Amino acid sequence: MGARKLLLPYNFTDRDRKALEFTADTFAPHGGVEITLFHAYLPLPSVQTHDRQVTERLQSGMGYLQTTISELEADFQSVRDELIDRGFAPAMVRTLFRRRKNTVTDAILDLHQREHFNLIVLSRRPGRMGRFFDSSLHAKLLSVLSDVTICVVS
Amino acid sequence: MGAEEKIDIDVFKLVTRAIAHSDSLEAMSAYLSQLLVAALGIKGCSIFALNPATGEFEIIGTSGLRVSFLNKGPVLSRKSIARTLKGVPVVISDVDQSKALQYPEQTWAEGIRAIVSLPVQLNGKVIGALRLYHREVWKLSARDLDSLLVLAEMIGLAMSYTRLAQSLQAMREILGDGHLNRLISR
Repeated sequence: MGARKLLLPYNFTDRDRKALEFTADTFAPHGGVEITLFHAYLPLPSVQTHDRQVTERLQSGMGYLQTTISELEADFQSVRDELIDRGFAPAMVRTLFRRRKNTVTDAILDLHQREHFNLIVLSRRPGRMGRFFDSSLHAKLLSVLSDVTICVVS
Repeated sequence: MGAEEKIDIDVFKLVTRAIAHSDSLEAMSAYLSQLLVAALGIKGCSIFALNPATGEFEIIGTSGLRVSFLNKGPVLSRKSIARTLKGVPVVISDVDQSKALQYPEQTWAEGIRAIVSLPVQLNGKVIGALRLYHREVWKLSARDLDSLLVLAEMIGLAMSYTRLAQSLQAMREILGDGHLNRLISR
């Protein structure tokens, strides 16, 4: 039997850290799990205006934000290193740091459709206000997906 | 000499489009904060929703700030630039001179020297905050502050609209389109 494929979406929150620790504590001792650490970010917006000077000023500001995205990607690689330190074989932990067109939920669904994970470990913060404004990620995934084990770390 | 004005009509149009064309509050907040950081040449920007149950300002969109600063702990509306909760804009031109910060050490470590905190209101009630962080001592022009207050009001409207749309979507998922149409046509 091949390794089980586990998807761990990660957005650098304290709850994501809990999900990471759950993943390490539960699966690292047994082996046989291939982890995909996944972060999907929104690309920077277009800043074309009628005024060349304004456009240049905005582009300069976007250059700074691009470096912050690069720094985030470096932080993301260190999360992978942490999983390896916690006992996973390097070949069994891969990172996907990707731009997304729509919501994080859509990005996860697209990825799952292509890669067919056996397990998805999600984090959830109870009572969060954001849920009043955007659909809950775990609720949407639970309602849409089948033939996959979903662990929600709260 | 007054402070330089940075939010002109071109910037305002870009930012307004980011609010009007985004399909989720998360995307709107992310694009809006990115555009404000770029337009004002500042370090970072965050948009918060106020959780009335906990009194916490919860981030719904942010840009330019490091993960370590964002994870410093809960931002409590009564401890963190508390006058925002009274519906007034707060300009902290130099954080060294202010006692209004909840996390002064972390703010300093992040390289923040000035903060502008604006209430996001709806029907006179504070429902969130728009905060801008600068790496230098900051003299914001009166006109830019005015523009930011208008943007904060637009964020309030967008939050209210998104919540309404989300509620309708949830009802549709539970009742189905047919039931919902009958409910609305009564």
